[in-house]
Amino acid sequence: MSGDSQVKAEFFIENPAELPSVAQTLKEKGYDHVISLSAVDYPKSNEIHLVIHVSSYTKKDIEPKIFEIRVKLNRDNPRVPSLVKIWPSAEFQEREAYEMFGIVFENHPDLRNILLDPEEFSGVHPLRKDYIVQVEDIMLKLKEEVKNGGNK
Amino acid sequence: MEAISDIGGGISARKIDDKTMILFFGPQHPSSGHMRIILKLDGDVIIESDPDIGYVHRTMEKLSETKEWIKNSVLFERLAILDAGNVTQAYIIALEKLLGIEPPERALYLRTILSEINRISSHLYGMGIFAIMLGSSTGYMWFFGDREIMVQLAERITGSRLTHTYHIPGGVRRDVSKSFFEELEKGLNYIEKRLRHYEIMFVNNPVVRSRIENVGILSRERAIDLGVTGPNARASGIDFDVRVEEPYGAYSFVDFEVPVYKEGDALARTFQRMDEIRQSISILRQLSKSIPEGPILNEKYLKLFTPAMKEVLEKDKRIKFPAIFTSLKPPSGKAYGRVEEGRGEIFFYLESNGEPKPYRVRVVTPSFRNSILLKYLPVGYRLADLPAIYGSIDYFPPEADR
Repeated sequence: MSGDSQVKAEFFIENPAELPSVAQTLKEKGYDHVISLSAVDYPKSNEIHLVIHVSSYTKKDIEPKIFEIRVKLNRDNPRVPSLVKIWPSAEFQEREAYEMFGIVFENHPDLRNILLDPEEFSGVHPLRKDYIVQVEDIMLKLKEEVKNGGNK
Repeated sequence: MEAISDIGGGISARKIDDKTMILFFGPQHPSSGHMRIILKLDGDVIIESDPDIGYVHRTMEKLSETKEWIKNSVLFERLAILDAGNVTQAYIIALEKLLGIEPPERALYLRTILSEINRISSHLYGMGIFAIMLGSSTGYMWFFGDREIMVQLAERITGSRLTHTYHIPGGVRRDVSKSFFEELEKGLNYIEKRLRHYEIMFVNNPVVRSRIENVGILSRERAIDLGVTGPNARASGIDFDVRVEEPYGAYSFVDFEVPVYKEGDALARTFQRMDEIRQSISILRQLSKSIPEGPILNEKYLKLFTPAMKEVLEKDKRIKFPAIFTSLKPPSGKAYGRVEEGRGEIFFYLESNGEPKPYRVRVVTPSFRNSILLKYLPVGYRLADLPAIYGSIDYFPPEADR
């Protein structure tokens, strides 16, 4: 199966300020577009990891085909420089990470919600682990169970 | 955005200069699903375009964290039900990497057959919507009517027309009979013949052609910068196809070309889809000739079958899930799966912490990646060109909103 290569396929960044320079280096290497930009929430260690997958259209022989960048962010105030200047393809995905995780992308040209209603979801970030999905199937559940939050 | 002022009675208004008009295109199903584009017009020239998507957001990434691994394949195929086989395949490929299991060869062939049938039907659907956006009812009826053949072929393989749930970890859910390949050949012959009709009646129809030629031109550099994917990228000269770059399924056993156009306009994107259907037909013919006999599920799982399950497999050629499937616990780790869907690359990133439910699933769909085009491509064109631009990029809102 493809994807598991011996070449180092990821880079972990402890200090978010270093992200633009890492991104610039990767872009010069040939990684010209962002496939995915999102995050994973780790409430236990009070961290949010910004996870970026980049790939190349122009360089056929690039290895690995998909490179992963992980940036450790402080969960209480996740801020990171925007990558839109380096990779314009990140624009909408940064907006999504902003609404879903509350990550603020500094110098993003147009940072606002993209999928969620800005009024209903102001200050609420549904993909964080502490956001609990309310179960609505009251026909099957006792009222107490619904009150207690349903599925996590 | 301009300041909003309250003009009394709870009604607010937004002051704009006299030359500019703001037009809301949508959100009530402007064509292929609920979404809207907020346009700023100078006369009838579009000077700003702001796609407002999310009207059919179904919280799939969050929901997936509440469901068992196997149940999520049923959830995710609803991203784009007209291309469900390809969507599920990407998820299952990523899940198989976590589980460290590989499907047998016959299952790979069957997966690829379904993928290509899905691709043809997805392209026919996209072109049908495109045709009706341009006002060509004949095109719409033809593409949608002919798509039915592909949908029925998919039904013959999987048992359901759209939401196939065909891929399972380590294999596929059902086998096909020999007579299926005769029907497949019949269907392919028909579509092949019809492709010539489409060119005469739809693409080269002077009315249609004048509306799509040199409209919505996307240069190669811009397509790379915006990360555009799939047929839209290839119609702008990017020679990139996941089936070639990271072969999965049975693509390494077949010989096919990746069509590329350099014009990058709505016409090139239409020809691109037609050419891709031709290649899919060729791939399907090669696969149906060379498909090997053998099991359709990995040995590791077949060993767990009870005598009753074995009997169903012998008699009906279908898999009854072994009990282990309900409580799959992939070891801690992460994996990605990528597949070339009809509209472009779909990407799954899974993170497991050894539990029966995923810790995190990230999915990026081709329509979401292409939605950025709705912001940058219409600018400078006339309002009447918008349906041609929107239709030609084959944007599918439910897939983009996830």
